[in-house]
Amino acid sequence: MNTAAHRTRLEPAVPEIGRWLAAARQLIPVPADHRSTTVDRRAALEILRCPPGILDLLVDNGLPSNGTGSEQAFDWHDLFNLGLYSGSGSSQPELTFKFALRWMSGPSASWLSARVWEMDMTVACGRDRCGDDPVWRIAKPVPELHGGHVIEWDLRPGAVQERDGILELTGATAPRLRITVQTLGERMELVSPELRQLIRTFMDRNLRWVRMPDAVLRRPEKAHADGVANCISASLELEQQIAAAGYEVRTRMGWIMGMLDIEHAWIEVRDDDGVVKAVDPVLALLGRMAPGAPADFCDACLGSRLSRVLPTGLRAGEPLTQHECGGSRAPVDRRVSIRARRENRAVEHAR
Amino acid sequence: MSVNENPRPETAGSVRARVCELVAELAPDRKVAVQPSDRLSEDLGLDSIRLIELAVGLEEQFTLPHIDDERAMAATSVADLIEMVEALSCEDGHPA
Repeated sequence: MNTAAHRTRLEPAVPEIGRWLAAARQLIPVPADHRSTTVDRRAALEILRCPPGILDLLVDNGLPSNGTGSEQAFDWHDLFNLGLYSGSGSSQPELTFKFALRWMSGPSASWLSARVWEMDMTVACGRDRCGDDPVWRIAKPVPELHGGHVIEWDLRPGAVQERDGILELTGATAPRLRITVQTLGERMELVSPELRQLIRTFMDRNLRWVRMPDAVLRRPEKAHADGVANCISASLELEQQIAAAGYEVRTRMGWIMGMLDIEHAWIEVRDDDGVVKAVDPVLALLGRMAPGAPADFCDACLGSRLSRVLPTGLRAGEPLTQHECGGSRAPVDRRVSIRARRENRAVEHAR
Repeated sequence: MSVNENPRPETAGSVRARVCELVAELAPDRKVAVQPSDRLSEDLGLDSIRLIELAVGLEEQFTLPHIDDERAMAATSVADLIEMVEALSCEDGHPA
């Protein structure tokens, strides 16, 4: 690479070029058959928060894109992963994640104490025009699975049918679910030496947490061979290994309650003491990335139930929201807002 | 980080003006001047990423201690943000 030539494209010269290039070299791009280049150049610059010349360098060094100039477009996942591990300190993924993970550095009691959350979810058809006979399905949060409870919920409009943890309704109007829940945590540890060893072996691989299309991460063997994982891939692989060892185990899908309203998956396993325990390897991986999070946080993720996690009845990789119209599955345009009730803070301060 | 590093004393009016200014910079749906009564999501179109940027921006602008996400999530309007900045400034020993 002719660095001098590239530098003329950078105004002003940016000292962190090396860091960006290192990040580009470490990027595991979305496989071409799953890539969706929908993010234009302007939006890409906003996500990465780098000068245009740096973006050109990143493309020269492996960041996939389609088109050129104003037509240039990128896959959102690639931009997110590149930004998150850029070390620039200013990319949108770094800033937002650093903030969203702050709770992990709080006192251990705060990971477990009862918390009240208000979730407001609107789902709309992702097609230009919603087809005939629209059906909407939303996985109902089930905080009871972790010791919490639903305070109130409301799903409109129309008659709601509830089946196997799924709320279903029909009609052309996009539904809105408003639900208030109390979540509760409980500190537990795995007692089975075999389970502990399986989890430790998984964690020691130091997989890099990334965002990828779900279809990619439903093939954990491929993703993990590339050194990357997300909650779905990690849960599926651990479920397989733990089941093979003879334990009763399942994956579960839900939410991490916080400003980024992140879909999440983990496993639940019946330990040698007969107690079902939550094992959340990806939350533990994220804990390693969270500034100030103690090592104890990672330990807590491997057996405990945390009050930041809201379970549903679904398994890893199953969609939390679904929509059908015109006789086929349609993409869902989902907006979720999660708010913490003020009393959560009051409880923390009273400790 | 401590507010003691901030040499500029804040008045209630300047806190309000600076919070509104910062919100306006980040609000995609802003049509008119930002008012304290504006709701962050419904009126100003701030999504969760923008709200985080706003919280980080407030920390930097006012040299505040870290705003925890639950506190930020509880803020639904510009007035809530102003109140939060004033409260955090007071908690750290320097009334706004």
